Amino acid sequence: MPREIELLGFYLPTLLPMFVLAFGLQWLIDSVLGRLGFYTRVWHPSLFRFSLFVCLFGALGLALYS
Amino acid sequence: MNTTAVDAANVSPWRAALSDWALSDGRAWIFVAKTMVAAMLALWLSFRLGFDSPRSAMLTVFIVAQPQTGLVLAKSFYRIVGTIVGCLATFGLVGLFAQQRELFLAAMALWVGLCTAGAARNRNFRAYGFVLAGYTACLIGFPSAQHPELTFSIAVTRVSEVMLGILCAGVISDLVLPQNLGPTLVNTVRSGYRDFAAFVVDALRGRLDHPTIERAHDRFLSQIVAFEAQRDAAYFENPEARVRSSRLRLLNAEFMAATTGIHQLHQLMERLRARGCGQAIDRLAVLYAMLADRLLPANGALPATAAEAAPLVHALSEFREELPSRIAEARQRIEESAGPSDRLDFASAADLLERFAQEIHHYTESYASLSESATRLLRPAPHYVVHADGITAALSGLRATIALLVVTAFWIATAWPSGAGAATIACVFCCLFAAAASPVKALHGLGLGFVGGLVASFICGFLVLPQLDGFPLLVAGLAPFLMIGVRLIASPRHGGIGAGYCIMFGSTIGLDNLARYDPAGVLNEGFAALFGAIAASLAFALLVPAETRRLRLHLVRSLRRQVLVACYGRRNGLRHRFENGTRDLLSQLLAGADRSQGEDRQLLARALSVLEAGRAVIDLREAATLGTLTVGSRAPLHAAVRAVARLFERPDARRRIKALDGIKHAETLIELALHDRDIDTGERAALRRGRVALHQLRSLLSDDQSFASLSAVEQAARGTGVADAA
Repeated sequence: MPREIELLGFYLPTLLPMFVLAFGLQWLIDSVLGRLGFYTRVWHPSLFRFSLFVCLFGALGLALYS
Repeated sequence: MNTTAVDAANVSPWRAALSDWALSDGRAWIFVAKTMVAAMLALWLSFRLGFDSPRSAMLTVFIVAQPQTGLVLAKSFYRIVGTIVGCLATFGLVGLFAQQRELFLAAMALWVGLCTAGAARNRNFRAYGFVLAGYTACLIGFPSAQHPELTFSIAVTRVSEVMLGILCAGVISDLVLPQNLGPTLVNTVRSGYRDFAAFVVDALRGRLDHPTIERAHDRFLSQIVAFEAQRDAAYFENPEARVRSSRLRLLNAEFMAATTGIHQLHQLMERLRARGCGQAIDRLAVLYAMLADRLLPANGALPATAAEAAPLVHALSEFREELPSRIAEARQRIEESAGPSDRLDFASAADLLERFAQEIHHYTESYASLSESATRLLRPAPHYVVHADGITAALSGLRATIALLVVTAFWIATAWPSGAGAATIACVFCCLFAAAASPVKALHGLGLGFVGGLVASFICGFLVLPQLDGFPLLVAGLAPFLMIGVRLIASPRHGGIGAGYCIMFGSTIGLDNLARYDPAGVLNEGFAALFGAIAASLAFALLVPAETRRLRLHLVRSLRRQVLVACYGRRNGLRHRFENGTRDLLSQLLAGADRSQGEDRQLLARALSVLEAGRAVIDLREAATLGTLTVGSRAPLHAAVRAVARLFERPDARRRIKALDGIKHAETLIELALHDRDIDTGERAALRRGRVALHQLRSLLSDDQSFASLSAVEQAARGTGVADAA
């Protein structure tokens, strides 16, 4: 996958749409987990959410830079 | 064992003091520490990433800094949206007018005016998004206009810096010792329910006097508005809050309906008492007491949590089931002995009681449903309705446009190098305080902070920082100066001063990748910002004054004219739109009311009369549009609605008589129609409801006190105006 993409004549790092994608995925997983009541069993829900996001973004980034 | 007991006795005051501190001042210091960590993180990251001006990432952290996570996230979200919209607008403006500075600045002023008008029409952080869209265009547009080829890179830098600041603020606020909005919201809901239920019980048992009622409605109103703001922000906090969000919206809407319901019920009872309708009252009091007993059993307590409210829902639904038969029984007794007017009084009050029983049942049901995790909504949840006054919004927009035009004209005429900074600050202020209750006062605090921030920035930037080397020492040098500002933000009274201090300090302290030592430049920038702030205050005070009597009088009149919304508005969702819009307008008015003169009480009295009248009018219109009604019986109902509308448009004695005549005429016609034995049951029921609504309107309009409340506030507003002039 190219590491830079062109948008209207400007080059953007592909990581930027990846970031947005990771954010969307996290939002989705987060709402499903929230609806299932998963967060009542987690010690620090925000930390869990943040880590989940780091994992998602990291995985997408690895797909790009591996 | 003895020693430990003695130790405990010695330690406990200390421990109590410590826990007391942790709950009050400790929280503020946690907030200060978190904000500092986030700001320094943003600063360090933007140095590492080589941004053009790392300080603006840090500045963003201070701007979105709020004690609770939900507020930070909500403000951040709208800041991002506003920044992006502002960027796009700049691209358009620079693309169109970059060659012609006059045209460019005029177009910019127009855009800012539009955004300001948008900010004035919205509430909470949504308004903030509009503000951002307006001043981001200035921030990016002024440098870009001088170098159009750099527009895109200036915009990208600005957006990246804002995003970085927001990410740091959001992550730190959410991860380190998070203070969520959720528990606050739960507390608001619980105390709100208990407060209201206790009020209802007292009202039903007839133990309330006028001042208590007004104070209670004042409380309910501020609760409704605060609740909506908290709900809106908590939405961003976590998925649980999002799941509950629409249920909370429903709860708030039903709370509004119930507060009007109990007021209507109570007022009617008072009027009956004043007229001495003994028999009807005795029967009604029994029914009222029954409802009060259901809400608060003799040796019971009001439910403290949503889960405890579940049995109450059952009791209330049982009460509603048996209520019609009890009413019928009481009515039979009354019909044996009392005259037609007593019968009508009773029918009216019984109808209101039934309605209120439904409202309190729904409200309790919604409250109880919060303890379940099911996502099903009981009823469709209407959105919060903001009363957006067109004239106020247009004036705010006009003010921002003119202020920006004047400052930029000064900039062009004098070829002032720091003119862009002054114009930007003037624009920021005009946008930011477009919807504030008393903008001049708010600007005063912010200006004070500006001066403090400029002095601190000068001391820090030219006496302290040049002695230091490396990032850790930079942090050590900045921290004491910044912590003062953040601590001020955390205090409720000096929040504005703190914000001004941090903004000024952050934007003039020379934190760039290429260090520069330029005291004259900093002073120039600082004075330009002060000039902008002064220009904005002048615009608020002189140009298009925000706090004139005339504007206030207009709003006060709008409160009365809310009844016209009930009379002529689209019928779909009208009930909620009317209830919520009236309350929102009242809360705007109360924010600027002179409480020592008793203006707040007059406003409340008027709003309550308006709510009562509007509700009765909506009932009447609903009865009039029922399909079963014949044209002949529909016309007098509509005529009565029109007469009431005319009265509320401009109340005077003549229109009052006309409205009462219209109502009386409609009542007699309905009476005649009801005596006709040929009509079917559907039509009969519709006519009865119309008759009850007419009766309510008649008793409201013939009540001198309620009628006086419709014109008293204007006189008072004029009166305070005279006092101001003197």
